[in-house]
Amino acid sequence: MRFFFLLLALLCMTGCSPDAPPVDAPPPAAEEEAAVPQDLYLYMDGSRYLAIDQDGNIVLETTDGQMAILRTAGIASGIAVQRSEGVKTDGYGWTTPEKTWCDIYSVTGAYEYSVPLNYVNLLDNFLSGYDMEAETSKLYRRSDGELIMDGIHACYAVGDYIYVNQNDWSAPGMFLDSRGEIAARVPEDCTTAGSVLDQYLIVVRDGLTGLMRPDGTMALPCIYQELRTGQLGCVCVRDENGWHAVDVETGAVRFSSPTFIQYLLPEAAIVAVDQEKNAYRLVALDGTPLMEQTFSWPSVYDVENDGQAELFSASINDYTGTVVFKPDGTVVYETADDCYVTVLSGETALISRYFSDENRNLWTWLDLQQGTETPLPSVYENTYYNPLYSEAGIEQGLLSRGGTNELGWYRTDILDADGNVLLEGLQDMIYRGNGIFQCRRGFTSGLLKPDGTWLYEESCFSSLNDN
Amino acid sequence: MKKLLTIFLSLCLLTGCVYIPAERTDIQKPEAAENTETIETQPFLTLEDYPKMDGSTANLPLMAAVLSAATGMERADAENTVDCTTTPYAWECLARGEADILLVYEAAEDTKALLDEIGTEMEITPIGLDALVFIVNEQNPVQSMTQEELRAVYTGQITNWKELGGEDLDITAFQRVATSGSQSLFMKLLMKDTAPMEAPKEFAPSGMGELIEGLAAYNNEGSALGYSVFYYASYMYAKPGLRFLAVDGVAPSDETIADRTYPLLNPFYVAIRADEPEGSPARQLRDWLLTEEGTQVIAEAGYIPYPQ
Repeated sequence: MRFFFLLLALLCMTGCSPDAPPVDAPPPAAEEEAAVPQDLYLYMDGSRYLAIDQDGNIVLETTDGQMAILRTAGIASGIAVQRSEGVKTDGYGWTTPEKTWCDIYSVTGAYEYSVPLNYVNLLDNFLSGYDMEAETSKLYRRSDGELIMDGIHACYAVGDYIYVNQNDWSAPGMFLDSRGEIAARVPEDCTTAGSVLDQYLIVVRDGLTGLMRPDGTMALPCIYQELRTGQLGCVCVRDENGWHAVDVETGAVRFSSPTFIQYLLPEAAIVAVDQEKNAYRLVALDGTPLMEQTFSWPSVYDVENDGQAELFSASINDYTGTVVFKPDGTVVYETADDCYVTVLSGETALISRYFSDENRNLWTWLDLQQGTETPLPSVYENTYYNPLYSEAGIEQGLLSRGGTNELGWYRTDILDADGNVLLEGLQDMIYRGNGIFQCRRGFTSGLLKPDGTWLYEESCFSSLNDN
Repeated sequence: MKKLLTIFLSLCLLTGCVYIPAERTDIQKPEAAENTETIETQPFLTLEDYPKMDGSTANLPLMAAVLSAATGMERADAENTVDCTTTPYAWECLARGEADILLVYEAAEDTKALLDEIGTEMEITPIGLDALVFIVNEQNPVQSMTQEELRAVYTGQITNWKELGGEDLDITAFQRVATSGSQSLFMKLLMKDTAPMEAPKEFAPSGMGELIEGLAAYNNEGSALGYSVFYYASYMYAKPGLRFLAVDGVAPSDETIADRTYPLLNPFYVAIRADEPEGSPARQLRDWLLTEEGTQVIAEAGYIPYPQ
């Protein structure tokens, strides 16, 4: 009997039960892992969708719908899952759902409400989308799912308001505040043509264009023959005297040109030389040319994220050359090849050349300070380099490199803006933003951090339908 | 003392203090047989010379093991280097010269017809043995079915689990696409000349607003019956909650596959084009796989080697 109880005690102490945790060695001291920005990251595996948070937790999972992360100012503010039921065949023979809707969830995965839309666009405090059954576009309030307006056409942000109209894309509509209440209406004798500088609505009356504020007051009267968006709080307008960069709030003319003003800078402007031939020139505000060359419509790079352009790249000499220059006309780089330039930071740019007679690409690294180029290695068959794009545009500081490996399988590497390899040999890579990559590595799939650790991981063999 | 022991053992069972492994999820790959001399493989191919290998998903771990052994590459790197287009596409790639060597499961009849059409002569040699296994939710009380009962389900003659001693639930008998490796084994080993009933279908969005009808995927609900191959479903597929059915009273396992008591068996193969030159990397690799060394690598990767 004594032996029995001793044995029982021994077994209990060793945790001999399926529910008892195994006896493990103490965990190693946790290494410092890369911090992940607060956000939700989408992981897709066929028809299976996961929303993963910054700690790698599954916030929401679905296999019967298509998931999208809703973002406000680039930050996750909810989750939408489009679902459908029933099947019908339309007059063209297409098989479509009888009914579709979107279920809306919070960032923690809590169900909030449903809207009868085929897809949803999040615009500030509103959700807009198309109701396939009703064959109409609708606007809902994001906070509670209440229908604000039916039959909308145009719908976009103007400052802190939403502008909508109901009959036609250019028909006069109204400004809605964050609650969906009407703040102001566009007069019936006007048409509309989008927003500029994120805070003004373009209105047209009697063929002449002006700008309206969301409170209904006119920022610029309808006196201009043409109006385009500008920079530095200015819009570019055309009257009988030519083009002018007008400060919207003060009405002051900062610069005038007989030809189209393509870009306004604090001390210079890019103006058209011959718009039909896509030829432009950089001039000082007194009209003095700052560069000898004319160039094509330039790419603009705000490398310091301060709302101002620090660099431009463009084709020159009738698309036989390329130039990179600063707002003061300083040429940082010039080549007699027609290249594709992607500025990655204030210090580096990626240059791509294609030689059609040889059917090959040449990739080089441009040091913007020195103006020198260094060929990039071809580590794969048919290596290519590409910038990465997030919702905000080019992801500065990151670069992808891809091609086929020794066994003929496609792989992707991730490099930083100095050309250092951060991640190597990724399969099926999709960039999810904030330096997070959905990919497969070996037999593991998931979301990978730039330091090579998994934010979320699972076996890549997750379907019995794999062969 | 005997009485005490009996009480003790009963107590253990009642408290769960004897771990009875759950079906499938606790399957461990078999240890190397005792008294077997381990042969150390010296790398004999460089990565640059390595032939373009393709095949079935279920052979991916083997492809990595072979690459590692043949070139000396670290296993983790090998797992990151290999890939496959899956069974039907792999066969076509070999026939068209887009792959040089396959580690692959049986081609479906449709695929065989395509290969005949392409007309490339191949050398196809069995190197491993696998099994067609039938899968149910682990809560399903039905433990075993005969081949006749399975055919009766897949021809619609048996429609409810209660007819097989299970719960009163209509059977959802999932199938696979015609070109998949599993489907080819299903037809070859079980159905033979009998056509199965129409499989459950479902609509999925195509990404352009249209719905595309396709075979419904196995969903592991209580009513579900599906199939796969043993190695993949046991060692690769990551999700819990499944259980294999015994067929004709024999449960699939490494042992019952190796001793051929499990009834639904089929080899998987190494394949090269017949016009592969003598001494080419593909032919070297194929020949090596048929040696004792190659067989050992297949066994060490957890597969059941085909007796050569």
